[in-house]
Amino acid sequence: MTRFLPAEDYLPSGRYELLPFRFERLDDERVLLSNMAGEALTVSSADLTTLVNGDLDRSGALFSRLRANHFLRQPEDRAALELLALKLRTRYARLRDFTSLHLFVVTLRCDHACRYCQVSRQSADRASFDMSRETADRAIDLLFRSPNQALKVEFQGGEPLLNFDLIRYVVLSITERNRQHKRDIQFVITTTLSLISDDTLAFCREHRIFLSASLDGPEDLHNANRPRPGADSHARFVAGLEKARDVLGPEAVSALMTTTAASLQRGPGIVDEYLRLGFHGIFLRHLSPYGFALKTQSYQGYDTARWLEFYEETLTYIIDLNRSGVRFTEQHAAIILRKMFSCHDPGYVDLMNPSGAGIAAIVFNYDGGVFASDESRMLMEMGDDTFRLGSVHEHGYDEIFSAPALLSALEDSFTLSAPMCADCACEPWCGADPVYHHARHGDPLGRKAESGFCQRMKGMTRIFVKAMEDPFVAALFRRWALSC
Amino acid sequence: MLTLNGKALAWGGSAERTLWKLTSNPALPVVLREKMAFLQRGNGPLPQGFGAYILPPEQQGIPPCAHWLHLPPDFAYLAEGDIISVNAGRIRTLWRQNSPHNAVLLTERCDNNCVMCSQPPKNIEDHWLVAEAMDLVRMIPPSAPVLGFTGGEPALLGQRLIDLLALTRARLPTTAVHLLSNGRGFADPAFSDAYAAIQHPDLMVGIPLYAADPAQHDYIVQARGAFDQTVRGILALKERGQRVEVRVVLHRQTIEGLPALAQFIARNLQFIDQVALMGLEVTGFARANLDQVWIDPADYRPTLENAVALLRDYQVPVRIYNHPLCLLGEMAAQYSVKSISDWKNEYVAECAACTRRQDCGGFFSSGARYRYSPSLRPFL
Amino acid sequence: MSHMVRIHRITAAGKGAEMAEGNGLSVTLDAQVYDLWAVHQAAYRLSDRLAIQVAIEGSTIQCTLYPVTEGTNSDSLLVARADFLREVTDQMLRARIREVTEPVRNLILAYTFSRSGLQK
Ligand code: SF4
Ligand code: SF4
Ligand code: SF4
Repeated sequence: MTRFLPAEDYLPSGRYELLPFRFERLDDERVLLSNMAGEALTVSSADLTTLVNGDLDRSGALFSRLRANHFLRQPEDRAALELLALKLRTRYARLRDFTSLHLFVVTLRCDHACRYCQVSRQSADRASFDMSRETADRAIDLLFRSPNQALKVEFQGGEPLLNFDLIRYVVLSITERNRQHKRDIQFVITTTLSLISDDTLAFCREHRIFLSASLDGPEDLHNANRPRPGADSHARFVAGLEKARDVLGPEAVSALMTTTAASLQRGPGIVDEYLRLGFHGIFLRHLSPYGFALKTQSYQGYDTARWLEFYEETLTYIIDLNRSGVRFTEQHAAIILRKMFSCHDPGYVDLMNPSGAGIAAIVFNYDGGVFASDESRMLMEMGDDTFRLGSVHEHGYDEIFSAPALLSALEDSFTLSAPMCADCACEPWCGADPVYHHARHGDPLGRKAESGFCQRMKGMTRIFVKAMEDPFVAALFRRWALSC
Repeated sequence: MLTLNGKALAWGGSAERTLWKLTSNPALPVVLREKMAFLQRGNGPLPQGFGAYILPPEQQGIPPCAHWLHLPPDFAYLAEGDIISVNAGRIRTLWRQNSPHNAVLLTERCDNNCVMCSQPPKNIEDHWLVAEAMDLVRMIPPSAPVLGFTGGEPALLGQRLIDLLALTRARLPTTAVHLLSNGRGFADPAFSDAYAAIQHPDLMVGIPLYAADPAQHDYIVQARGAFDQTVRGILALKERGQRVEVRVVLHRQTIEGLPALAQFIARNLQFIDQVALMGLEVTGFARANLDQVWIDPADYRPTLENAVALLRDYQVPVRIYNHPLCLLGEMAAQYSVKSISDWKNEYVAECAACTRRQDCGGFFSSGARYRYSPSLRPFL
Repeated sequence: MSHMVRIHRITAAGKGAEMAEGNGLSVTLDAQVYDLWAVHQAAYRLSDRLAIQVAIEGSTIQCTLYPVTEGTNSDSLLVARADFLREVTDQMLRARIREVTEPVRNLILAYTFSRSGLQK
C-alpha cells in the first residue's frame, strides 16, 4: 500500500514573494487590497503589516487565500505570473474593442426647462439651434471612419424629437451606407417621451431604435425637476412609455434619473416609481458640475458626502427589494462591480481609464462642433472650449482625432501614473474623467484629494465592500456585475 | 457494475495477445470470417472459418478452429460488434459497440498519486497498452460517436500519445474523443504544440483541478508543484485553441475549498470549455483512504449550490456527474447529467421506488457497494 | 480652496506634536525612520483638509499642519494630525510594497505584452 504524506508536507517553505497590490483603509480595523487584475480582498490591519513583513503563517487560511488570489506567490509559482498577465491582457484588449458611441445633437430646442439642464433652449428658431443635413452628412462621414466594428448612434438634444426629420434622415442614410460597411450599429434616441407620436414609434420599430427616457421619480418630484408648459411632464412620460412599449416591446425603453437636492430624501420613493412603471433597474446618477446646473447653483445643492448617503440608503432599499424576491438592479453599481468581479470593462465613458473621452464617445454638436464627450459640449455652452476638438465643416478625421486637446487630456489624466491614483486600491475600477476634473480643478487630472469624483468612487467602493460582507449581497452584486 | 476483465473458463489456441471483433452472424461471407471471432449464443452447430470462437460454458464439441474460449457468465453482455482482447485465456473488453462510454486505458503509470485515485498508478512497463490501443482504433467502426482515452497519465507516453491521437483522427474522423490527463505534461510547450498540431476536430481533454490553493491541490494529488504545472498546462492548451474540461471530484478534501476553486476558475480560467463536478468513486485509493475522503453529499449541499451558482454567473459551463439527484440542491440539480460511464453506474435499494431514476446520475457502483449517503431521499 | 483659519493656541497632546509658532500644529519626524517622499504623499492625500508645510531640520522632518476648511477646531486638528501620522506610515508601507514588487511587476507586464492569443 502506498504511503500518503500529510497536507503539512505540501505547505511551501522558504520566503514568499509579494505580488503587486495596493491597499485602502476601510476603517480602523480593516484594509481593502486589490491586485494588478483588480481582484479584491479584505484583511485586518495587523495582517497587512505581517504580510508585508514576510511573516505570514504558511498554514493559515489567509496565506492560502492570498496565494490563490495572486497577492503573493512562492518563487516557484510560475502559473501565478502567467495568469496575472493573462488577466491584464484581457483588460487591455477589452479597452480596444468597446462599442463606440456617436452622439448627434440634433437640436438644442426643448419643450422642457429642466432645472439642471445644461444646454436646452426654449426657442422656435430652427435655423439657429437645429442640426442641418449638411452637418449631419459630414458627421456620418466621420462616423464611418471610426475603427470600431460596433457603433452606437445616439440622438440627443434638447429634445431630439423636435427635429425628428433629421433623425429620420440620419438613420436612413447610415443604414443605406452601412450596406457596404457592415458595421454593427445600434440607434438610440434620448427623449423625455413627451412628444412621442405613432409615426415616430413606427419608424423606431422599423429601424430597431431604442429609447432612452428620463424619469426623476414620483410625479411631484419629476414635475418639479422638469418644468414644461402644462406641468405635465410626468403624465406625458407615463403615457409615452406605455405607447412605446405597445409598439417596441417591454425592454426597448430605458430610463435615466438625475439626483437633485429634492431627490435626496426620497430614494426609496424614486425606486418604487421605477418599479411601479415596470423597470427592472435604475441608474442612480449624481448631478454633473456643468452647464446650468452649475450656474443655477443647484449642483451646490448637495456635496459628494450627502450624495453618498443618499446612494447608500437607496442601494440598501434596492438590496432589500431583491431579498424579498423582486429582481431589481442598481446600474451604477453594476458598472463598477463589473470591474471588481471581472477583467471586463463595460465601457461606460465616465468610468474608463484611459479616459473614454474621444475614444469611446464622440459628440457632433448641432452646429458641427466636435467634442470629446457630452460633458465637453456642455462645458462649451459655459464658454469653455477646451475639449472642442474641431468642426465637421473645417476639419478632417485625422485632425480631429489627433487634436492636442484630446491627446493631452487622455495622457494627462491616465490614472496609472497619477499621484494618489497610482497607489489607490480603487484604481482598477475607477476612471479618468478628464473633463470633470478640468471643469472642477482646471486641469484634466485634478487634485484627487479634493475631487468629488474621487470621493464618490472611494465612497461607493466602501459601501460595496461593506455590503458584500453579507453573502446574499455578495451573490447579488456578482449577478449584477456579470449581467451588465 | 460490468465486468471488463476476467478469465476464460477454458481456452485453446495461441497464447499471444490478440484483439477480436465479435459477431454472431453465421451467414457472414467467408472472406470476412478469418478476422472475426464468432460469438456463440446458444448450444448449436458452429459455422466454419472464423478466426476464433467465443463460446458459452455449456457449448459441447470441439470448435472448428484452434482459437476458442469458454466465456464466464459475467461477460454475457458481450454483443455484436464488441471488441475484446484475449491473452492466454485473459479476457478484456475494450469496446462495446452499443455503449457511449467506451474508455481505453493507455497506461497505468502516473506522476500524480491522488489520495482518492480510482485507478491507483503502477510503476510498470506497459507500453503494450498503447500499442493495443492503436490496434483497437483500427478496428473501431468509423461510425463510432465517441471514444475515451484514460490512464494513469497518458501524457507520460509522450510521442506515442501524439501518434495514437493522430491515428485516431485519421481512422475515426467523425468520432468525438475524450482524453483524461492531469495536464502537467502540457506545460511543456513542445508537447502541447505537438498535441495541437494534430488538429483533431473533436478532441477534449479532461483535467482535474482540486483546489485554488496550490498546497491543497498538491496534497490531494500527492505531488509538489503539480498545481503549477497543471494550470500552466491548461493555459498552454487553451492558448493553442484546444478544448479543455476541468474536472473536480467532490470529496472531503475538495469540498472546503470548492467555493474558492470555483472563484479561481471563474476569474482565471473562464475560457475553459466545461467544468465537470463528479461524485466520488469509492474504489482504489478512495476505498483505502475512505475516512479521509468520504463526506456525505447531504453535508455539502449548500457549498455545492454556491459553487454552481458562481460558475453559472460567470457563464462557465458546468455539469455534475455521477451524483445522486436527491442530494443536490435546486440549482445544482439543473446541471446534473445522467452519467459519465454506464458500466460503473448503479442504484441502491432506496432508489427502487424513486420516480426520478431516469434523470438521476446515480453513483459509481463501488459507492453502492462500500459507502453511500444515508440521506438518500427517493422522489415519490 | 477656501481660506486658512487661524486657530487659537491649543495644548498639543502626545509626542512629536506641538503648536507651531504661527497658526498650525507641528509634527516632528525622525528622518532616519520616515521618508521625505512618504511625507509628501501623505500631505497630498490629506490636501482636502490640511495644508502641510514640510522642512528638513538636521535629522528631523518638520511638518506644520494648517487646516484648510473653516470652522476647524483644535480637536479636529488633533484628529487630523493622527490621520497624518497614520497616512505617513501607510505611505511607507506603500513604498515598501512598490519597491519589493517592482521586478515582478515588470515581469508580469512583459508577459502581458509579449504574448498574444489567449484572452477571455
Ligand atoms: S428635457 Fe433634457 S434637454 Fe430638455 S430641458 Fe430637460 S434636460 Fe434639458
Ligand atoms: S480618482 Fe480617486 S478613487 Fe479613482 S483611482 Fe484616483 S485616487 Fe483612486
Ligand atoms: S433515490 Fe432517486 S434521486 Fe436518489 S440516488 Fe436513488 S435514484 Fe437517484
